[in-house]
Amino acid sequence: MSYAYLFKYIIIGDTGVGKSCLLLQFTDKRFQPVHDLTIGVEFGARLVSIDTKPIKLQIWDTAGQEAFRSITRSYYRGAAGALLVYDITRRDTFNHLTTWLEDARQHSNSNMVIMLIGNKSDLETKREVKKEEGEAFAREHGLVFMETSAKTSDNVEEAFINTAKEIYEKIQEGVFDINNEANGIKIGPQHSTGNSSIPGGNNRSSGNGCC
Amino acid sequence: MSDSEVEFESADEGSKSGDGWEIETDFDLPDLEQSIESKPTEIKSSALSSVSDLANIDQYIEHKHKNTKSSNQTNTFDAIPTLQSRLDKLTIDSDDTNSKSHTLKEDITADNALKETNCQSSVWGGWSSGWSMNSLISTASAITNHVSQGLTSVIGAPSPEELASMSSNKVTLLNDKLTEESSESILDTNYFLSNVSQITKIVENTGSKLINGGLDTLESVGKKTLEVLQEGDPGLRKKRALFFQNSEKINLSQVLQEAKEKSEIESKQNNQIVENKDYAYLLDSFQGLIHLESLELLSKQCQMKLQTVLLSYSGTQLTDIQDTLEQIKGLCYLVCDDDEKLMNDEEFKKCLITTINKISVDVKIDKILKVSSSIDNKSNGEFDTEDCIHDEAISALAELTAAAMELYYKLGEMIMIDTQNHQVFVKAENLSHLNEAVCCRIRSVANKYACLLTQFDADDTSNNISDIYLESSNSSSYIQDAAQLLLPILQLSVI
Repeated sequence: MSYAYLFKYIIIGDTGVGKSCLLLQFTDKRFQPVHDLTIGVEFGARLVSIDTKPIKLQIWDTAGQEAFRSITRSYYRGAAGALLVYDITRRDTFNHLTTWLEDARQHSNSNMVIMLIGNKSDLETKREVKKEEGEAFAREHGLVFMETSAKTSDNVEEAFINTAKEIYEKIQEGVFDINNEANGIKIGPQHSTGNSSIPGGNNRSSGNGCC
Repeated sequence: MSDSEVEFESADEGSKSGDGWEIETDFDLPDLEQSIESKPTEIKSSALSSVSDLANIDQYIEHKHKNTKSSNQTNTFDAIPTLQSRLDKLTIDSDDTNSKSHTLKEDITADNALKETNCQSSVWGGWSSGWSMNSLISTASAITNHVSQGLTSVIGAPSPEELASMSSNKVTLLNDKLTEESSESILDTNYFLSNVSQITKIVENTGSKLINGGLDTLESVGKKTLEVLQEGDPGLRKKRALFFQNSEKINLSQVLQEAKEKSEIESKQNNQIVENKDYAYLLDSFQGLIHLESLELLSKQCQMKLQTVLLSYSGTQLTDIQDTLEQIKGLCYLVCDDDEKLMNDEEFKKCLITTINKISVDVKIDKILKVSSSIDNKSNGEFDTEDCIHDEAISALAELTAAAMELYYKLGEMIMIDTQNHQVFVKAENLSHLNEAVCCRIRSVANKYACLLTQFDADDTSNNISDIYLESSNSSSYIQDAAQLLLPILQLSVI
């Protein structure tokens, strides 16, 4: 129930590449062929174990539509990891990766771990983007790359867990300042029990004193 | 032995030049020629079969050796018994040879023992560095004698030195066979000898690995034992104390009694912590906190934008805008006249539908309505104990609050991306109505459960009731917070 760390992820990419399905497969282990368009941002969470430590992954699943881009941007800064997803059967989703990456790099903290994901690997016959192209893009931009299938759950676990491993390693190396929650990393509740049930009203009151 | 010594020295020189095996082969050859003359013909045939065996072993070992290189130690260990049994067989074979050509045998074994010793001194460098060459020779020859008597029957726990030399001695015998045969054989002598040296080397390597592995295992077992003993007891102080206390005759039941009391106190404390955590934990598990956090992120972003926009205005324009923003703020904080107002599920539903439709039609309210009505159903059900009611109440409050957080967050998102913001004032007003409705619903849920509890008259009853009211006000605080966070988003939309 309790966790050693909490990592926040953000899933980004064009609309319809399967971001919500990836999340659903990871959190609920099921596949929904017809999925409603994501409005704003949805959430998912799951407990995984890295290096025998329980780690809670809290995942922001963003809407791919352009209209929500400004909302999506609000979440980059608070994330420790990002899954940048494209659809291997749609070349245009691959072509937009550069824009997504620029956006992510611009609005996130510099240590954010980004994993490039070519989704829908089960649709081999409709493939438009070669695996090598994904690999090359990842290499060029220093990302980790994987092809997944939210439908068959192929590599889905690995994608989320490998990202967590990388973040964990960065923590061990001292790259992340874990006391700064803006990094998207929280230390588990056993370290700070006392006032957890008191709403943080006091420190938020600045929110209304705008003018 | 004087001959052997000379040979040994030469061989040693050879190894110094880094080419030991080649040179040794040269030395062996004259000896072999001598031996063949006195060798009985019977032996040749038996030796021939042995050689074919040897060739097999050779292949086998080479194969295994490759495995060893790829650090597959288990394979190597598997190989040892097989190898050993074959060696044993050969040893027995050679016993015949032994009896029939005893003198010859001695010559060759001594010679080969030297070779082995030489080989040993390189492989077992760490161990044998302190030994003199003479002692090496004598050890080797002594062991050779043993072999003639049938060393294979040695059982027990040999020392590493013995074990190592045992394996090498077996190979010595192999060597004998081989050297006897090789001069007669059509095959190249050099080829065989180099292979034999390979065998000896490998056997020694595996021997040393076996021993080193054994020692390592023993060492790690010892370390682990100490670790376990010292766990939570550095320097073994407690355990030592325990042993010495025996003299003072503290009996076991007393110790157990104390331990039980201690654990009871601890578990009581733990329970309290769990209870304290409960509401926050539940709120988190119903995804209330994450939605609040996300709303906070959006709010902060809007706040920043708002400040930037305000900086670009000046004079009357600025005061106009500031007035508008102030107006929105005022509408968001309509003072609730009736602090005691309650709302049942039906009223709540009606109120929500009307207010939400005026704020944003895209936001779905199914979830919070579902939560509200399920709370209604549950609170009308039967409860076994007082604690059940209390737990159910806390859970209901947390779930309703979490659903409200999600609703507020979604509202924030929709307001943010809504491009037609002409009805901001209406939205602000309805937001404050929504706020009131949720708070009323929270209050009535708390009331309902508190009423259920008043039927009981236990010691904990009043504690439980005040706990529920505490968490209910907690819920209201969260909702007020969320509403405040919506304000900058709303304000930004008017500019």
